[in-house]
Amino acid sequence: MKRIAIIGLLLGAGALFARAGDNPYGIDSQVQKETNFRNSLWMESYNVAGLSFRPFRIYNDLDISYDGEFGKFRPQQQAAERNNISVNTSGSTYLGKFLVWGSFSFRNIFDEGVKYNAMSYEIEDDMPYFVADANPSPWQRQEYDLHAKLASPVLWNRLSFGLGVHYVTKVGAKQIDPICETYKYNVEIVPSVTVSLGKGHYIGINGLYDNQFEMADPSLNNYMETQRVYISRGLGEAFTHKIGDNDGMQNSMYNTSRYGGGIQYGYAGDVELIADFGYVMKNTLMRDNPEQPRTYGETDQSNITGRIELLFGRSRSNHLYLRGEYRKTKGTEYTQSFNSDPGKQLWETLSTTEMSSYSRMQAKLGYDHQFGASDERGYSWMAGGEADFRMKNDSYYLPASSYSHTNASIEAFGAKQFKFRKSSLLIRLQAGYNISLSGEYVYGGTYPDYPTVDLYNQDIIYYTADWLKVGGKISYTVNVRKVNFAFNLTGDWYKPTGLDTDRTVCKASFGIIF
Amino acid sequence: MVMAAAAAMSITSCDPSENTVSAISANVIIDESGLENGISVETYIVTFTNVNTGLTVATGSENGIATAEELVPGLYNILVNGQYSDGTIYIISGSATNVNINSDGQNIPVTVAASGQSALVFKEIYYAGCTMSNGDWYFRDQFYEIYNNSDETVYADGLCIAETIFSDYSFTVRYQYPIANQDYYVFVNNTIWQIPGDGTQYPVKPGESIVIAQWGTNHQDESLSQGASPVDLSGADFEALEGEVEAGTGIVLTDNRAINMVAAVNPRGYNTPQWLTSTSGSQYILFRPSTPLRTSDFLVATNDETSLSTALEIPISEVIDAVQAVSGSERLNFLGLPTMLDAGTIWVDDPGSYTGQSISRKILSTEDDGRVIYQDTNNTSSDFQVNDTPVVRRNGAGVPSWNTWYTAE
Repeated sequence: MKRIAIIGLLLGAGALFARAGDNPYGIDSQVQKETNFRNSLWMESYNVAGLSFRPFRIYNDLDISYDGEFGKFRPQQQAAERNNISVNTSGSTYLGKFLVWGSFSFRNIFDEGVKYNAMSYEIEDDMPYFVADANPSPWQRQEYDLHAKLASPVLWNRLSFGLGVHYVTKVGAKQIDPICETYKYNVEIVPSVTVSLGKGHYIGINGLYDNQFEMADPSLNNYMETQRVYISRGLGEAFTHKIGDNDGMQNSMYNTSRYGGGIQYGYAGDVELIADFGYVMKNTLMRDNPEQPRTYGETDQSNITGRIELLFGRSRSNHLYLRGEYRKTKGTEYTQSFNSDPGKQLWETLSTTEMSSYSRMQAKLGYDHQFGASDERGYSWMAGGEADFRMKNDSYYLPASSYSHTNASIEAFGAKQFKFRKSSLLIRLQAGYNISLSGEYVYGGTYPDYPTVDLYNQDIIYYTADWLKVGGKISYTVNVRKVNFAFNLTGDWYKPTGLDTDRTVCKASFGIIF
Repeated sequence: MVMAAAAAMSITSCDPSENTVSAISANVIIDESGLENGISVETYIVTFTNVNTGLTVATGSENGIATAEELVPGLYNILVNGQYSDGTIYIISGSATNVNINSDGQNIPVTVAASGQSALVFKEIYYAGCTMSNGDWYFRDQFYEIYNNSDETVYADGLCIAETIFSDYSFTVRYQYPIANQDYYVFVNNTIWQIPGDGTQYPVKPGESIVIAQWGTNHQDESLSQGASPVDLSGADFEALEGEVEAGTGIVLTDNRAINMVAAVNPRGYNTPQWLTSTSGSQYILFRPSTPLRTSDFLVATNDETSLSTALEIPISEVIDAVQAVSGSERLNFLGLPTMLDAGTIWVDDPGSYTGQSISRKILSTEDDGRVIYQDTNNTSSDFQVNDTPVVRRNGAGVPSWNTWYTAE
């Protein structure tokens, strides 16, 4: 872990030495930094090579931030209260003719009231296989997140290559019996190529490979009291195990591989456009006990993403985007028998059966407009809105259970930047409303008292609620001797109608942009 | 765009070879070829227990075939039970363990064998212990009630009770002992407690029971369990003590009116002040040894480097009754008793136990004179039930006449 932190700091220091202070296109404020990302349509894409053809303003920043989340209106496996202290640095520069962007974050997270999660750093909502217990618990977590993108210069006036690397390692510890320590990492490598077709037309492709591994080591503070755990198989179905005693559950492991690719089309002329489509397959195997591995389940996921984004108008003042994602996950259970023959003592797979199917669809349509976008110091006013549609439809085949919900939400915002001689103040207000269109959880199994069933009974209340969101942001940037000090405060409040709960999400950060 | 993506996905997911699960049926073909003297059973009860979930489906046989419908594909333990009487009651049973049932109409052959029904059976076992008001656990109130389920008087003299061992503590290595025909034996590595007597000293009449206490005292006493224990065992017939002894934590295990048993043999090689069996459940056997129990005959498993496996073999033919309790359904794939002794298992609610719960045998019928006949199919899964509170001499079991100190609660 120390090595990762050192590498991250070195990257930050590298960005410092390669600073953009002497660059006339440097970033001097929070507004300029956000606009830089808004206007760089290839930055969000997995295709890093596309950055070579379109300008991306170089910058560096470093901040320390606090993130807090409070309130019971949340999915049950998320913390009732989260306090997160993080140190973040990111920056971009040219190393020779290569454009380099990198970021590093260290996050120290203190969670309270995490429910139905005994052994996983985090549980994705389309993962049927996880270990749950009935004891809400604090979790302490640390994350090291390194991300780098490298785009080659344009070769032969037509071609560029890119490479993205993302390395994340996470350490978590559950505090109340059954306790556990879990270690998780993933390495994602994304090569890409972009070709200029002339007259502002570009086409690109990228590949993706991601390897993830997590191992959790459960134990007990009070070793005299064995704890019951439930190995979820999906939508409440579970079989029981225990932590403690000599025959209790051993380490649990997730092995995940993601691989896929994407294709992009871009245009830069009077308007700027990107159409970016990706397809990624993901396979995850959940097992326990590395010495005598027993496989509980396997998921195979297909993920299709699409993004069409358009900048138009004077100084790219108009921004229109449509994003979509469709994800389908199949859950396969293993029928295994323990072979206790001398010299063997291993779990042997007798058959596998597809037992569950999870699907999720999401679409977003958004528009924003910047008034005064041509000003080098950034817009004076900005306003926009977004409509979001989300649908989830999960099935467990036998005994039949189902879990589905559909939501639609709209959000609007307005922002004003006050520009002073050596500083700027950004004030943003936003409000949104979510409507639950439908939602239902039907458990068809025989153990309705299991905590895994209670999890879905509680979560469906969250996902079928209409809620109001209001929030805002204040960002102040002041220039002192070529260094810009940035102070940011953001907050959002979620209030469901008809429920006596709420959720506040806030963030405060202090840093420098240089 | 999203709709197009969804359409693409729906196309890619229409793989005709995709194995989507549906409920299936399975047929157990009962093979009676091993039965002699014309023994045959018209209708067997066949139970399918899903090893992973613990769910049980029971069905009856017809013409030697039992069909279970609506099974979830998976790993099953299958138990076949029937009874035959020609004056003597025989239990006809067979089993198949860890059977992978994954195709509709799958046939599973099970061979059945006959054994005589036991006169003496375990009627109630309280092994779990209880939790005191201060959070500490109390485990000295374990007891084992043995009932005369027959219509003839039997004698408890010389009867032995013990726990068996079959694997390491993590239940991953099944012990292999250096003995021919290992399948004919069970193995004991804890103290074997034996009821004293000259052979006719402790008669047990039909409908009567004897209670063997770990310690035959009133455990409800505030000074012992802070009143948490559900049982007063001062009326127990026997206690697994050879005399007053200090338990090591300062507590003195007094010698009570219950008759002291004899620690016949202890393969572990060291004495413990009390007979504490696992509060997560164990394999319990009642047997009458046909030869002296000798400490020189201990065996060590060939596949255990720690020698924790030291045990004495007990021929299955000498076992009168056996019951298997485990910590939970996770143990269904690794059970410890031969299926002809006990083809099933049971567990109380909490894996750490100390729940104050007991297991007791289910009632089969009640005779005209009020005597209760208990179900005995050598299958704990179906023969036993979990009780929230243990009761000594539940269902009005009789007290042997020689127990003059018993007072009904």
